[in-house]
Amino acid sequence: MEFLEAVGKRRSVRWFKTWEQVPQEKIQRVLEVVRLTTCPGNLQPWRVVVIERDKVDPSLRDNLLACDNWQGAHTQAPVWIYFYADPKGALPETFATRTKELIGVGALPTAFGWSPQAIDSAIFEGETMPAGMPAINELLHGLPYEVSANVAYAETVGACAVATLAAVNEGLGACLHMISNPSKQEEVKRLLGVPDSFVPVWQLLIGYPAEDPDAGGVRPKLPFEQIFSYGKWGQPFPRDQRVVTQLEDEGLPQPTGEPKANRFDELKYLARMFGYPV
Amino acid sequence: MHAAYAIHPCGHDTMRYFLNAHKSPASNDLRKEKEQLVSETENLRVYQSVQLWMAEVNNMYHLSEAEWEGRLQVLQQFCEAESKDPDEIIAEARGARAEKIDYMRRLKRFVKTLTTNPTSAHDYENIIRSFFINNGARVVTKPYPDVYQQSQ
Repeated sequence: MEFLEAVGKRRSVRWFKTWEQVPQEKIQRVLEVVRLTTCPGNLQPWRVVVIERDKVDPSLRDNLLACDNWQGAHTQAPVWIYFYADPKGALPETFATRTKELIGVGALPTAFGWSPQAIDSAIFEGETMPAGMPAINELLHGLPYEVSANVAYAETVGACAVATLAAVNEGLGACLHMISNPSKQEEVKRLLGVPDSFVPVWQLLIGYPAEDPDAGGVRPKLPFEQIFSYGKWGQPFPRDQRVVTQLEDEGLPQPTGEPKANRFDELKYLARMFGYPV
Repeated sequence: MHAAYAIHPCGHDTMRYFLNAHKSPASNDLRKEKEQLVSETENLRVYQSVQLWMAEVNNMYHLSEAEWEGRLQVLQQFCEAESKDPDEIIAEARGARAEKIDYMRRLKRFVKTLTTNPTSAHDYENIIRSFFINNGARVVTKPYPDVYQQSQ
């Protein structure tokens, strides 16, 4: 699938064919894409637990669902990919290790001033970096653990977004979903054997859609001009309608502001099929 | 009387009509019973909670009059079992959480008086759950219990 087609087809699918398993090969293909996801410093702080709903002990399945208030999409999806962030994955010393690796493979050019010595002096001694180098002394020297945790969380959110597109690329429905009620996060960690220190991020539900994969159409989006500025905030990026039309031709549809025709009929029959109230 | 009146959740009172289809037209019992039920559901429609429920659901799903008739019959029976009118039930359910949970427990017992079929019982529960949800009383919803069952 072409990239734009994957972005254009992606919807948060919330009705899954509970009877159709996802081949483990497809799950692995999604994980392999996540592994190669970009993030600053190549930190890779994401840690993942995959649950195949029909292959785990029913009591574990039901406990995980109970922690999430038995949300419908979670109940139906055959695969649950739990994303956590490891704060240790974003500590200053981790950044030092990862960036030294990047120097070693030619990703961070010494021509820009990168060197292991520069990294150590900036991160561990707070030495000011020269012009041409990022101010990693300001960014990382004395970085509190809580901030590392926030950085790890933010980077993992990015990985979740990429995972979603990877699932769409496999022809699957996908939905980023809360892991559990906030008050039940520790319970879920215990159930999954996840270290206390891990920060819950999202879970990605995947499966074959029971609903039309278009799921009612493109969701409402903020106006382009409200999001993107040019030169200075508040000066809208000039939007060329021809570009919009080209993208539509390449598989990136625009929101219409209305659900697809018969969407609510579809929802009614889906609810009846699975036994939910209408 | 009403507990024996098998009402399909979709509004078709199948069993009673099937059993009584052979009755002589001269027998007014079935007609009177149906008229009584219809008049009772008409009475139900004056309640604010019922009007809100119907409006909210129809806004999206446009259910048929036949289906609404069936739903209202189930609600009517639930109200009789609770000895309360619909507005009173919603007022209590939206109050203390414990009260709402108690309603759900009694609902499970109530639907078993209507049918022994677990799928039908689930459907009857969903009618009352829909009534609660669309009146702002948040209740858990779950699919049919066999959603996890695999044939292989």
